Amino acid sequence: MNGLAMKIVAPVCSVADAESVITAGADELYVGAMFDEWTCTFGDSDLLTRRQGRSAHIRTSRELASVVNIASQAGRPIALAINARYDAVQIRAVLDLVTLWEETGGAAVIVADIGLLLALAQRNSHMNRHLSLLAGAFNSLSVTFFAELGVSRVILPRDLTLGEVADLTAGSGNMEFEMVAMYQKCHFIDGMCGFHHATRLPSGVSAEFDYVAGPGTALPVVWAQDPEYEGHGCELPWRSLAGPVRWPRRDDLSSPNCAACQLPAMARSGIRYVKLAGRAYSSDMIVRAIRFLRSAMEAWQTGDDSSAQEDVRRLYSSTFGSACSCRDCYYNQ
Amino acid sequence: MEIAHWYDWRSPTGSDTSGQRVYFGHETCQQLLPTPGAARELARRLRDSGKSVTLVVPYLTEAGLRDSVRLIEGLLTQDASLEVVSSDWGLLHEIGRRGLGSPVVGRLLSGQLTDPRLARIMDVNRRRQPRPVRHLDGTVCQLQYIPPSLAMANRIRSCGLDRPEIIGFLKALGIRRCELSNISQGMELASIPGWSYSLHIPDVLITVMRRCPGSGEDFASAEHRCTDKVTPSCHGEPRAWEMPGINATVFRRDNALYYRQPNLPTNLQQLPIDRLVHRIGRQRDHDSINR
Repeated sequence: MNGLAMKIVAPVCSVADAESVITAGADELYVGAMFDEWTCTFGDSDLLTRRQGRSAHIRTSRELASVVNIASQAGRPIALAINARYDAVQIRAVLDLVTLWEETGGAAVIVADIGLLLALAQRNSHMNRHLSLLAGAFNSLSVTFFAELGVSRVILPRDLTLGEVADLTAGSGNMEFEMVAMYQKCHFIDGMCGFHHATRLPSGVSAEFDYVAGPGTALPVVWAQDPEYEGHGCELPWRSLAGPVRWPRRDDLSSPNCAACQLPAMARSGIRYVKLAGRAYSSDMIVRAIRFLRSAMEAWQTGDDSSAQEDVRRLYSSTFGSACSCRDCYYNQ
Repeated sequence: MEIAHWYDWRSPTGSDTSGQRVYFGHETCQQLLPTPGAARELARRLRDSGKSVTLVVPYLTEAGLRDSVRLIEGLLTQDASLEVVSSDWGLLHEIGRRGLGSPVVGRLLSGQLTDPRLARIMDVNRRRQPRPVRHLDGTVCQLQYIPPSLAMANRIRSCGLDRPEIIGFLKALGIRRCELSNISQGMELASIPGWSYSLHIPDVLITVMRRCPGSGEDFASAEHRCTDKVTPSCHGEPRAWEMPGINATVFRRDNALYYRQPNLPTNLQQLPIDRLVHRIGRQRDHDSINR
């Protein structure tokens, strides 16, 4: 297999993340930014980007500038995720953030809101517009629609099969395409999901919250809009017809969702960018995934198809500690 | 207020309805759209009984797009006033560009937040005990309720299209209506001339599954992909799901999850809603959700 010219797009949530993912071999970066001004009004749920929680975001403009600077010096384009849908009040704050991002030197934005695309066109922004998978471009006519709104890259919904992807890209001209290749294969369709994503509890990251001394309690208090929140809709167990309680499959370090075996088919369909989902995942998880995908690309480039497949599976097992299974397969047909 | 009825075309119970308009098609799965022949026959019957017709189409793959355009073109041969509700931007754009009927933004593109738990965020009178939480690193804290800001509350009650610049853009494409769910947290929408909303009663569409769950409701352990055929689980009857922490009866119908909110918004008269869409067609829908 030759010609597997794909770039790896990795998430960063801090200066340290930016340095480590660049060292690990990421070609492009993406980031979220959620400042105090936003959280004071709108909380830290998924109203700004689909990813909830402050640990998934850069928290100050100063750190945001540092991350952009690190990326620029390393020659890595970096995109800002602002991929929720906004109302008339929110869009003003979002446009302020976009202005800051552009002045800081950010190369691109990841967008799902039509009004935001219209605003970027109106202000003649030079930033590249990447269409978030939350916008749900499932076919070539949708790609054309968003191309006319200034989108230069489409991140495809992770619900398409590879055959459907090939059909779509064949009819989509010069558009750049990106697909998710590791982590977070939700059971629900991202762009078609109305579940609220608040900060998960209990959290592995206590620094997720702002603590204050509480009235009448020795415990530090956290103010939350929904203290009863038990988790995202896709993470809750469910039970039907007096059947057993069922648990959704979790995405963890020992058996992450993965598309490494499908990289050649993705490349044949014109996919030039593969994305690691998982903002706020540990730096170790992201770095391992970058190295794994890079090694998998090399295996596909240097070996014949059957030996490369075996090599990739061995790589998965040695990287993540367990053998892969069909359930882990991102675009299982 | 126009009264419309959503009719499940798979139902054997007929399409008799007292509404002025009938919706049919499928909102969440392209495999569950009627054939062009079945759609034409149903539309002819409806039109003969004086009803206006709305075809509902979900998000579409390339193959689904081709089929849907054929379906729409077939219906237009007998009804030039056909309305098409679509949750696919590409199809909406194409309908507007080619004049294939009247395009309407479907519920899945409305940008509404439809989690039933959002109602309790808005409920300042709800009795809550402070909740102790132990984080995975051993830190313990206590969660206490803080009401959402007015701005946050407005966003939770609004939808993602409710801005003049977006609606102006959509109107230029020939789109003048959007479908909404009757969300339990209440609704706030701006009135913009030439733009209106339909409100669906009582089923609130929460989310769509990437794969069909199969008859065992187990969409996590197996990947049921129905690219070629309809599975036995696609019968259109609601199946209740118990989900801890969700303060509503969630149910699955085909490949989507819903909850019920039968009470109309108290501020309905102030909202730019001029059509109510009631679901009919399956007796179980009216009686109870199948447990």
